[in-house]
This record gives sequence, structure tokens and C-alpha cells, in this order.
Amino acid sequence: MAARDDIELMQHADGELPDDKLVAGIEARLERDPEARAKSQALGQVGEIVRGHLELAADDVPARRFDQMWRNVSREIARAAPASSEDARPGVWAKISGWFERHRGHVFTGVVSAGAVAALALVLRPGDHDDRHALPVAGDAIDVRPAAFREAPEIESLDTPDGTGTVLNLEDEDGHTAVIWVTPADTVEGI
Amino acid sequence: MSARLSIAALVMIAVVRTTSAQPTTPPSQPPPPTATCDILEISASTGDKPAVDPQLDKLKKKFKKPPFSSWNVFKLLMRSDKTLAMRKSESIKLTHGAATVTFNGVVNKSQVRLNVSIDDDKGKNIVNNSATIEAGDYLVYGHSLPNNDGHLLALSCK
Repeated sequence: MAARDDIELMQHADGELPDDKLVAGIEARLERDPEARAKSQALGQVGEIVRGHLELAADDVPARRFDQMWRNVSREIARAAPASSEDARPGVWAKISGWFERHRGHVFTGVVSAGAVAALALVLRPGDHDDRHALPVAGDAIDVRPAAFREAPEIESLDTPDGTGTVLNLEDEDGHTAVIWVTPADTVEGI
Repeated sequence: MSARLSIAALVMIAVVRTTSAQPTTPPSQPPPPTATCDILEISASTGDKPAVDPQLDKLKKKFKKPPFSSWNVFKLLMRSDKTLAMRKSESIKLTHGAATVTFNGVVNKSQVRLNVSIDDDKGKNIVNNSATIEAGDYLVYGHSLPNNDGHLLALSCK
């Protein structure tokens, strides 16, 4: 039942339901069944994502090569077939190959599509990231750069109540030293 | 084509559901950054012979430059190694007054944002400052004491 429901959902997503009654039934089910609604939405979204890719992938299958291959398979089967009237009836293999002959396009397209989808799913699936390489900067140790590559200190704000502040940057081969010297307001002469 | 597409879409949904249903380790939250700061309280005075505390070797060269060159004797009054948590103020009792240091984060992986506030002996705030310095560099606050000695507070974080 679930499989049939899914097929109907697929047909609905593709606009392929044969009659309006079925469409109405599916839409009623979508109204009341959140799981079906989620499936339908996922079908629509995923279908949009993979549509172009899959069509391209299917077009890439070398159809002529497969035609040739299947012709060879048929010829070999015909050659191996016994001449008796009993054996002239199509055997199991002949039936299978006949079915394959009629449906090989679907099968190969399906295989190609499944491969493409599997690859896409592996890329898109959540929860398989390697966190060892995703540690944000915040969690890492602070880099101590060589003195020659260090930036000058930046004074963002300076408040010296009842005094004045003098900022100096002493730079040498060891790096920078920011000096903030505070002079009280009542000092007549500085240091 | 659309039926095949739908089959492919269902396969994909199944793969995604299967893989996402597998137990996965929850994404680890990065630990909040911390900074380890070396905090030095220094007295500067004038003596007959120049003397610099051996523990102040890293600053020795700086003491030969103004404004520190006004003095020639530098003594370590207090040293404290503090691991500062992000945005958590750390109070430090000084020989002369008190200081509050707050680590406000890392900039460009190698720079440390600090907020430093210093009170004098009488508890009066004399400086309140926000600065960004490179890890390993020094930030030195200084002021003169009534006896004309100098009082310095030096910080270096990494």
C-alpha cells in the first residue's frame, strides 16, 4: 500500500495522475498526512535539483554502443538456440533478453540516474563532515607571529579621568610595545 | 522521463534518510577562546647603578627608551600569569592599586583585544583603555608616583 501511495505521490508530483478524482484524493491526503506532504515536497525539490543533471547524464549514454551490444547478444542467443520445435519456443533467457531489449533504455538510464543521484546524495547528505578540519578560528590557539610580521598596536579607546594619556609605540626586533603613559592633570611638568 | 526522474528522486531521498538516520557525532562546538596573559607590575626608580630585575629581561631594551629612560632601576613588584576567559573580567591586586583585565577576543588569529582598567592606591581610576595588540607584544601602562618613582603595569598575551 505504501509503495502504491508513493507511486501516486510521484505521479502527482510529476502531474501524471490519470484523472481528477485521483488528484483530488492525493491532495486531500496531502492536507491531512504530514508525512505524505513532506514526501511530496521533497519529491518536488529533489526533482528540480536533479532534473537537469540527470537529463544530461542520460543523454551522455552512448546509445549506439548499447544497440550494437544488444544486437550481438541477440545474435549469440539465436545461434545457440536448438533447432527442435520444442526448443524453438522462447526460453527463459530469451524472454529476459526480450524484455531487456524492450526496456534497456529505461534500465541504463536508471543506472546512470541512480549513479548520479547516489553521488549527489553523498555530497548533500548531512552529518558526514569531518569536524577536525572545520574548527573555527575561535577555538584555535592564538598565533604568535614573528615580530617582523606583527601589526602595530591599535588603541580603540582611552579614558584617563583627571589626567592625560600619551600613547607611544616602541618598535624593535622583538615586536611592538604600546606604551600608555598617564599624567595627572595637576602635574605641572611631565616626566 | 519524469517517472524515471521520480524514481531517482525517491532513491535519493532514501539514501539521504538512511545516511542521516545513522548515529552521528554531534557537531562539536568550538571552545570559547582564551588568552594567557603575563602581567607584570614594575617599579621604576633612579639609583646610583642601573639595575633591571632578571625577570624583566624581555623589557630591558625598552627601558632604555623614553619615557622609561627617566629611570634606571626597574624592579618586579608582582607577576601574575592569568588565563583569561572571553569577556570575563579578571581583577588583579597590585602592590600599588588594582587592575581589571578583560579579554575581548581574537582578531586576525594573532591579535588580542583587551580592556584594561587601573586604579591607584586610593582606589581612584586612572586609566581605562581598550586596545588590540599582537600576541607576544607588550602593552605597558605607566604613571608617576608622588615620590617621582614610576609605576608600570606590563601585559603580554598569547
